[in-house]
Amino acid sequence: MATAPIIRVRDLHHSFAEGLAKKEVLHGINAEFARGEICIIMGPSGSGKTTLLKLIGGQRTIQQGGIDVDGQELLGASQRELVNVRRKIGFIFQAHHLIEALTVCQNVQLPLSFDRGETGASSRVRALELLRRVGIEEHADKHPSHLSGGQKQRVAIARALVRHPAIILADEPTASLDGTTGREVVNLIQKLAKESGCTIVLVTHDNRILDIADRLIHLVDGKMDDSKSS
Amino acid sequence: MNRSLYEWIFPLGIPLSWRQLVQEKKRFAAAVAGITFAVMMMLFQIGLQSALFTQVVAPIRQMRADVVLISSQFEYLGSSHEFPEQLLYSAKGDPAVDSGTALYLGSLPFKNPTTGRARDIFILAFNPAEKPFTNPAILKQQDALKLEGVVLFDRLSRPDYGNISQLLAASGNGVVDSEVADRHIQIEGLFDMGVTFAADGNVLMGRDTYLHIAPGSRGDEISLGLLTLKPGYDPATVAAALDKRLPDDVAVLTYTQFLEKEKRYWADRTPIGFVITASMIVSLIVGAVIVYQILYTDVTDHLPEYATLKSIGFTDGYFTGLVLQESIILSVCGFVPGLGLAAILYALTRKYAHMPAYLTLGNVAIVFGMTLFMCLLAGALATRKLRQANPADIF
Repeated sequence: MATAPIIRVRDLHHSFAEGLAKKEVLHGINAEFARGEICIIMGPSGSGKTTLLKLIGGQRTIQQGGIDVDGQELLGASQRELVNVRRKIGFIFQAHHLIEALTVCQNVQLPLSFDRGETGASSRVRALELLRRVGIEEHADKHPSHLSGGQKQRVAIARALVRHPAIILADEPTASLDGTTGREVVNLIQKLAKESGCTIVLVTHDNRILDIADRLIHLVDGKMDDSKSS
Repeated sequence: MNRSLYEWIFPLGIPLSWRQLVQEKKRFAAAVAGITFAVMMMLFQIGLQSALFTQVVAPIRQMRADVVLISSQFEYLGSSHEFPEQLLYSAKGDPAVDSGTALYLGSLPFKNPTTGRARDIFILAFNPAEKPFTNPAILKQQDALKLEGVVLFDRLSRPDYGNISQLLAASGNGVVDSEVADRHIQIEGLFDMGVTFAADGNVLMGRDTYLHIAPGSRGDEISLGLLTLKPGYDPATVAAALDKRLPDDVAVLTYTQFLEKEKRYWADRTPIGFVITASMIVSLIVGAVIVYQILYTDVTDHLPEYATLKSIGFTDGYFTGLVLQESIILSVCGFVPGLGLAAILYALTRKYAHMPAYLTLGNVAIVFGMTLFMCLLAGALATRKLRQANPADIF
């Protein structure tokens, strides 16, 4: 790699309390993700891949090891620093997690409130542009409950991309979708990411979508399985 | 900055707080109804308390006095004890005093002219040549009291004494005959004063009538001495000086102190004052708990959505603002109908309990402040979990 990696994971350990015992789910992960690459983290459920993604996204506190996201060390980062990291990242959740009380367009607009210059009108224009690109512009003023699963996931993608983040983290984006819809959603993520040149880290156990990746990482029982990773 | 006020309050003009509250219309209605009920209850109780303390001093409010002489054993109007009239003359000799007059207070059985049943009524007697009362109806009619046996009847007395105003209107000569302490009296007029807890009705009569019918009463033993001062004299200073100069049989109070003493008696010395104050506090607490429950549930239900927003970079401050807005919306939406219902309850209280219950700006402000405060506190407590947690822990 010519350029410095945008995400660097160093000897990352993580455990959850299980009653009185502690269960370690990540046992020393080391990984680097380059700018503009699409990387898929594969692994059976319970392998710790979602935990890894949430640690990278600044959504869990790092216990041991370190993660550097675009120059910001997350270990021991302040609340303010964590907020800034989260704002650099577009996160696509397993279950879309849209705000039911708001319209599709307002859901996509919400993250734009981080940008001081945006107004209601200007953010709507940007949100509609994204909705057009994910192909559901005509549903902009509906509420999420009136959309199908695939449409909701498209809204979630639009929300993740609306601020042109340098990094997209996607946590099993196809888990709640049927095969065809899942394929469409993944293709969409790939297309939009290539257009804007952002880094994608996608966690999945869905073998059918691996072809979009530049690189695969296999995670088994909290360890990287280097024999299979490419 | 070309941002409107609306967009300052709601970032990008998206009123998330409002949308989340009204998203489920039934639950929003239930929440508003709960707060309405709490507000109504708080306002009603606080109104009753105010009414009680207005009511107990109703007769005093109509007395014309700057300084008041009472027996040192005075407890409240209904148990005033007597002191020598001589002391009133002595006080009147003070250069600061403009005028002084005596009141005789007592409770005597009054016969209901319709049913013939007798019940104690509160008697206020005075020299009709003087003006101890400010009520225009009394001033206008008090000359009639110079005739022995003539009395005036408080229209606000409880109905148990008979419908005197109707009887007066029906009588050809404007006189209703009845008895006080088994002595014949003639009711020749009405005035409005209001009942207290010490008396279910009031009757005004001349001093001579009172001394004639009240057993054991003596003209030289009086219940209250009402003094007015010449202009430029400070009641507090004069009262203190008189209190020092006069023997210990009497206490000298300013008019304001006298009012407060009467209120304090009912507040501190009787179960009535305690019960109504306690029930007001209880209703404030119950109202606060209702408000807290509603807001806490609302925030808890939306916690996963808030966690999502936190995951994508919203700050704790954003949620604090959001819940603050929800608190204010709920407070206002619940307060307005609560105010209306309380006004209806007040009207019923005035009509059926004959208590002077009115919406006052002070009480409304107190209850609104309580409601808002509880909403804000509930919101702050409800978002505490969100502030402490990793967003990922809430999913």
